[in-house]
Amino acid sequence: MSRRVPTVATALLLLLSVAAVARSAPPAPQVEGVEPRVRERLLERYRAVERAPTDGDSWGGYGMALEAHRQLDAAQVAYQEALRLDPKDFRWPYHLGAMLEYRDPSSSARWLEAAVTLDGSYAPARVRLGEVLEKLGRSTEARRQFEQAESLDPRNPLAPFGRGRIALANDDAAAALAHLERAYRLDRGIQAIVVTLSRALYRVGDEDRARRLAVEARGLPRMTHHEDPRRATVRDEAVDTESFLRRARTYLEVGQAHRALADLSSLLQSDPDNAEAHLLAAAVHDRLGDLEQAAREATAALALAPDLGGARAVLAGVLFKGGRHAEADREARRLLASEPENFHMLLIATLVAAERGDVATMIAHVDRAYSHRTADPQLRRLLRQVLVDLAESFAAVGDRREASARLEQAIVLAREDGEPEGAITELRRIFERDR
Amino acid sequence: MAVAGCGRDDDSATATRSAGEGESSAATGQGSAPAFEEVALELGVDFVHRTGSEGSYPMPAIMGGGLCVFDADGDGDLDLYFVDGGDFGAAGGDAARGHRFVRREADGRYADATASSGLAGGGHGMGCAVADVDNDGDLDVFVTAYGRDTFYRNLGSGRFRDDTAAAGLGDGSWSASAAFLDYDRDGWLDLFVTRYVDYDPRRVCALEGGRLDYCGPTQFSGVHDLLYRNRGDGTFEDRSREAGIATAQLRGLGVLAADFDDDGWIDVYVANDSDPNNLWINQRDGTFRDDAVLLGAAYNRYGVGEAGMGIATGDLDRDGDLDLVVTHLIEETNTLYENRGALGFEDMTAVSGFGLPSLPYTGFGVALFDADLDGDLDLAVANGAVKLRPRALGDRPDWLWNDYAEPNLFLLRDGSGRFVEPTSGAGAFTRDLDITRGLVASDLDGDGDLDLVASNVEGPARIYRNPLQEGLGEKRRWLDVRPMLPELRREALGARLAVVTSAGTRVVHALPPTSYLSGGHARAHLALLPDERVEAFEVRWPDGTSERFAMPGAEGVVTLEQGSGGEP
Repeated sequence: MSRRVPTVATALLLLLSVAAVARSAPPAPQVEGVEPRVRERLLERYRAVERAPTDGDSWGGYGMALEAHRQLDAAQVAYQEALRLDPKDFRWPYHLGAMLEYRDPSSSARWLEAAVTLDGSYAPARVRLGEVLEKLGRSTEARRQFEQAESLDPRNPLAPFGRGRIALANDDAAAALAHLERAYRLDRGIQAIVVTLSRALYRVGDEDRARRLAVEARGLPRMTHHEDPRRATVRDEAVDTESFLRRARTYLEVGQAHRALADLSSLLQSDPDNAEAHLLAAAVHDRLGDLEQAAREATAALALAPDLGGARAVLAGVLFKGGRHAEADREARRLLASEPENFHMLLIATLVAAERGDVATMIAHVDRAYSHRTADPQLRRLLRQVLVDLAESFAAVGDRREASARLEQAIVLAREDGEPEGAITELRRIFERDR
Repeated sequence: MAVAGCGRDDDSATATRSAGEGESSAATGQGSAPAFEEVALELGVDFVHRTGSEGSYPMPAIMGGGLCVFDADGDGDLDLYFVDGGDFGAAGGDAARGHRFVRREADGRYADATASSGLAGGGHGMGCAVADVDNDGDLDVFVTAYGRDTFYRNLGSGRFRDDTAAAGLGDGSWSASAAFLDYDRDGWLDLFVTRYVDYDPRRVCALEGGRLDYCGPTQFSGVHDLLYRNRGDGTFEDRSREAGIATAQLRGLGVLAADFDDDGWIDVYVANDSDPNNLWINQRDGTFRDDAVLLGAAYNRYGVGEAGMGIATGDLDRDGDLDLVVTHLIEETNTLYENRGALGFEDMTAVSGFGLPSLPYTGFGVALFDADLDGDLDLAVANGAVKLRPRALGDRPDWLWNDYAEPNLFLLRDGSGRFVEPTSGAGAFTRDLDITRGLVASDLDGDGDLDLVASNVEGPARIYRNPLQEGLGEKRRWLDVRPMLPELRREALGARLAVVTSAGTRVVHALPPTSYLSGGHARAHLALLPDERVEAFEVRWPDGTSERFAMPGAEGVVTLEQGSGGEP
């Protein structure tokens, strides 16, 4: 059957083929060696199918639990049975298509086509179908899906992003730029969009902005899928420790701290001695501005795992932010004893030393921080600011040599970060003035 | 010019589909590849890589074991060096076994010469690279490791001395692949070493569901790579910071040094695992700038940083510049970046037939080479999982690593330039189920077709003999071009060679097969078509000078010495 057959016909054929194969017993879940929570969840869903073997929801729910715990072969069987029992339910072909997106794009495309036949109004499904078609080299069809997704939901950045990608691959940089700028305006926090926009800008000759965006992208989360509430239901089925932690990290990355906290609370209820969960909870509370609770969580993590460097770093950071500088310095120094190149701790130690007026220690730490400078754009900006502040302080007390040295370092950082010439010129101006 | 048949626009993409119905169907069931025969034991190579990690999951154990193929003793044939994983079960961690060096004998068999060569080594080895760093006419060896790296100076006749401390090359972190290059054009070969992650062996990882498994890279921070400048006095200095390399603290695995922007200066491409790749463009002043994002070689077409492992390069579309292929994790495709000159690179994976066959496997070592001597570059990929596969493929249920074993992948180019999976595979190379890491294509037996040497995690070294020439009544003609710098007494790493023939001009580069954790000679191999006749070679040497060598009718091994050619 050629893919030129209209999508609706393909989808109907697919649905009919599923309907033809009835299944009596659900495939048993793999429960050997899995965490008790996972075992319980899988068996609960499995038994639901046994209790109601003709209920599409039960089969689909079981498929979701299986997929969430990476038992994909069994999940595929469960979804297909759910679809047979309830052929008008968008969820089952959609989950099938999404699950197979990276595993078997050809099948994925067929299931997603079936899903959008059942409900063509859900923009994320069209975006996903577009992406899969693009993977298959079917860029005309992919572009069509992105266009329809954009008309359905003009706020979904992934639709113009897809159109931009296709235009860029076709060497139409101007069209690509228009689509990608639109995607970027809708969401500046998606790394994939920022790096692709950077490429398009480079191709049209705007190298300065291209470089700035390339640097900006470094600090962004890798997330490629925008909000897809219908797929989030599968992600939320996962109850293993790693999934809780991964979900929490993702929520934290994309700025949904409260959702991260909810996941971590669930995990800590059943596993209160999970140091990693306490550490993440500390980071979440830090993000929410609850420094006291952040310090408590970091301390709890360290009590469980004294060598958990990340926890000590968070603790030092929140103590510093909370104005408890002596304690922050103590924690930073403890961590620096085992991780002498820890950039964040070097910065804290620098700032505490500066506050104390301990110039020698401050210079030693800032030099180490500079020579071990991180790739994290936020921390690099912080270091640059510290260097400029130091330069001004040195200039104010007449130490032009130190002032010049710090400004030179700031200029090097700016250059490495692809800062626009204007910013470097400004630093140079201060540098020349202080010289 | 694009890869033939790989449409850049929608219309040509449609045209391609109408012939092959898209990648999924076009990528299988076509053409025939050489049926590689596995002959390691027959040739006397019985090395088995071990890690001593039974029942535990130390991450370095699943990543390593590379190899080098090189003429260690200067007798004109290719010897083999396999890097062992050490013993993670032993207190102190160092291995009792060590690496294995086998010398090729006159009868074509290999003899264990590890002890006499001085290359036994120890520790948790990862990979190796070879080059003549002291310009004395023989190849020295650098071994990367989880732990201290080792530098072996070749004293001549295949005897080596551990000169790590004297050379200043004993970094103690987790390094992966290495590439030699003369980035500052001072005539001395410098060294680029990728470093992987800041690994904490105490960390225990599990899959969804809770089953224990090897940790993934994102559990640990990345570490910046190292650039060592060769001072020319037997020592190296770490210039990573001064050169700008240290600004990227990513999870480096594969590395390839070549002139990607065709300006005559050697650049460096690094495949990072779960991070964007780096394309360090040589700024000609001792520094590099990472232009991978702008040039489209950091992320795939979808703007996603993939799990970069191994790298190979070659001029796939015959437009004179170097295209790139990078191997990746299961459920990511391997990726083909087509070099479009000033526009940078374009991810042509989807339309070239290159991607879908790779989805079920985790790729590491990779070779772009003309396996069937038909004039275009084919692809071999070393596969093996790093986490329990969703569905086991291994055929040895009693083997602890059975659920990580995968078949290797081989793709031929069809007449239109697309990659296709040959109908009946590529012999033992695609039949064996191993956890393969290192891979080098090299003409071990000198018959003109390229054989494959592979290294496996917790498994035997493999030598896959290419039987192509043997089965032909009339042998196919080929070139093995070896550009040399007689004043420096060594190979001209990175030399760009334009081979002018009656059928046109083809550009090849003399590059070592760094692949993944692997190394070898800097030579260029290509096939000559039945009616094709060589007229001349135009060489751009690593120092930027150019020469023309008029050599009508040349074939077989061709050595080009700098200074003996004419004006270009």
